[in-house]
Amino acid sequence: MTSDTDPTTDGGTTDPSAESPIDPADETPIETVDWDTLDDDGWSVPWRWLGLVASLGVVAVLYRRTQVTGTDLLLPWSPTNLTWAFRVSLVVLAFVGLPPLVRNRERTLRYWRRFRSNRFAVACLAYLVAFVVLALVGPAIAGRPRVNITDGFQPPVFTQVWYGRIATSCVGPVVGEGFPKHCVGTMQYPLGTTKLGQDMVSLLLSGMHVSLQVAVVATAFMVPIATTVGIVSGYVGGRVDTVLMRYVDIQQSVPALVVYIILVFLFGKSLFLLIAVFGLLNWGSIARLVRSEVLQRREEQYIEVARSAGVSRLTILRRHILPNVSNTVLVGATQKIPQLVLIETALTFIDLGDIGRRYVSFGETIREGFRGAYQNPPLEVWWIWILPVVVLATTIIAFGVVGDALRDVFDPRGEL
Amino acid sequence: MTLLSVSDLRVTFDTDRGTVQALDGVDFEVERGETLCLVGESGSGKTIACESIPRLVPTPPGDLDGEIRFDGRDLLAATDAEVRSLRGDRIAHVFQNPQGALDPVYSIGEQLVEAVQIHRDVPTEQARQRAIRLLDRVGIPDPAERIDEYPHEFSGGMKQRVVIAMALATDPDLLVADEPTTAVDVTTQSQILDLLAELQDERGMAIVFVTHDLGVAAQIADRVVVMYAGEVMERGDVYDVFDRPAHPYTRALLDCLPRRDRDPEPIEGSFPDPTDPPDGCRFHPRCPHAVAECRDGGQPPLESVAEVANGTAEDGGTPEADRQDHCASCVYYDGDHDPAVVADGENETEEPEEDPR
Repeated sequence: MTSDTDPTTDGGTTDPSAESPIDPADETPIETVDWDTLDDDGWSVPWRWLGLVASLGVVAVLYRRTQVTGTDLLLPWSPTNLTWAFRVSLVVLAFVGLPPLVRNRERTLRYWRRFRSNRFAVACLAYLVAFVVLALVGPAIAGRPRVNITDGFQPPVFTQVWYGRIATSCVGPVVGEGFPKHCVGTMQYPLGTTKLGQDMVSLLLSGMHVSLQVAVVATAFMVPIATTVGIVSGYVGGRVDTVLMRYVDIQQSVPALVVYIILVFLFGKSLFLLIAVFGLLNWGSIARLVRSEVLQRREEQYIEVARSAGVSRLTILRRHILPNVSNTVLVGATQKIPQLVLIETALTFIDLGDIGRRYVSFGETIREGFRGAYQNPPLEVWWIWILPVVVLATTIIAFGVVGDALRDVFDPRGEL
Repeated sequence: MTLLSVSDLRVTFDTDRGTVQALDGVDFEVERGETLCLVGESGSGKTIACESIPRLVPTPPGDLDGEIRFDGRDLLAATDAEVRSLRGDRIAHVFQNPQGALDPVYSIGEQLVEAVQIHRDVPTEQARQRAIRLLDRVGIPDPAERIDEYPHEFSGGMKQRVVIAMALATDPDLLVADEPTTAVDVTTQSQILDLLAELQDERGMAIVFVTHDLGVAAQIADRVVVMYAGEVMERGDVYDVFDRPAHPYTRALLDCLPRRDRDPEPIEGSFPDPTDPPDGCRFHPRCPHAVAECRDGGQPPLESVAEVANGTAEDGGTPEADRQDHCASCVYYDGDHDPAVVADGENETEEPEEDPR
């Protein structure tokens, strides 16, 4: 990978001298430093934490404002608790993920150069970025999918359905003579409509928003919990380890679906409840993975070197254990998060999810495509369920590919 | 003032198989600017002894008892925070295996800067400049460029140099080097030993050097402590110990070295079970000169062998005052036995037995 190295350091030409034995007599002694005379840098401002607190403050002010006035700055309707959880999670993830990349631009560039060599992963990342942008901005612009009975079952553009039997009215041209006639899709509904005439474009944007909410909120609270529990359990060991791992055992043995159904009976269906139940009952496996990795890492010599250099336990955990197990966290998270997105879709499909919200989940749309009931079997109205399935599947594959590529990128040992 | 004095250090570990007495009353002292070598077989307690100095031994399961005075301060009585502020700052450690000693996720520059900034509140740019000078000093070519490389881009010998640079980051008074050359090849080994010796001359730091390689010890040490099964067998000036080994164990160790004129003689028997060490002198089951007194009681006290050496050695290489330090833990030096049996045993009794072969 010569293209990856800086041309100034990449020199087979300078190497012969580097390989020759060093004559220590040539070296000048390092001057002894009088440490007390050096400028005291003073305490540095923890911009990252200030920023996080300030941003959370902004979210809190927004929340208060919405409570008082009943209107939201960003949305034309009043946001739910989940929307607030989503906003808080976005802020937290942004402040956890972005500052290290911005602060150390050289390293970020190096990561990017390595990531770039995996073309497929780059394509997947581009898809995910587009997904996130569309999911965030789309529903706010397109608004809630509107019911428009007269435009039911319009086919996607360039395709046609049986006019009269499937589509009872047709926005575009009707082709064919006699029986059967066909309704041709138009750009007014480029991806077609549902039985109730909801535009598939806005339904898809809406579904993407729901999936993103699930992924972001679940990540924001599963990953920190799992990582903390795993690291503490592995590094502290002893009784703490036993207690935490027994707890994880118990938690793993609780069937999340049953708990969810019981809570649905008690509190009613809500996406927030779904994420909370499945998120809180699912981080155990990530914690377990992290713990076993920590058990290996803490015996590494560089941990002992750090200890012998006077680094405190907390700093060792944060600076030396955490980055070395981040691969495992990444692998665990990229397995778990898509799983939760799929669980949400599946539960909504079988009518256990939150239906009738501002945002329509993929599961609801897919079900819509299957319950056309009389005269319109699923294959005739394929676009209603195939499109969400394609988007969902592509997203989950892209997630996995990008996760794997990031794992490779963050591991400097892979750079050869 | 003596920089480091370890007296009656006892370290025990609670294990499933019982209590292991890793160190049983170890004493040694290190002056500023001096190199002390701890030598002995694997399992003799050398590593535990030097990891006990800045209390790196995990407690529990370990338990430290005795006194470790560093620059007048009793480290075993100090708080964790006090000891931690000494670690790396005034007492630096270099470990055996350079392959694992550097964190793979950080460039060596970041690790050196961290080493400086743990103890010194200096801006990163200044710490980085110092890191480059340190790398230059320990013999890394093109330090300004290589500082941004990752540990896996360095060879074993180069990594050990980086580790030494890290240890020197804050000008320590005491460098504890735990077999720093065992995992590198011979040519690198001698370069690193030379480097350590120069750095010591430059900044007058004391070195506690652990090795099982007597050749290395002879090359680098000012004074030597010979350990066996958690006990000090013999200690003294490097010339005294190597030229006139007083303890049968030291002599046996020296006989293990390959020489031109004869084959090495491995020590008979096997290393004692650490959970159940023998009574009396730890070495008596393997000692060719063991007598009844060796077999009970505790390890014999360290007796000065100076008078004996005065009487028999004629080279006069070491001033008499230094020779007072030369002690051995062997009943032959208690005044009731004839030390000549063990001190001169090599030439008079063992060699003839070898010859007929």
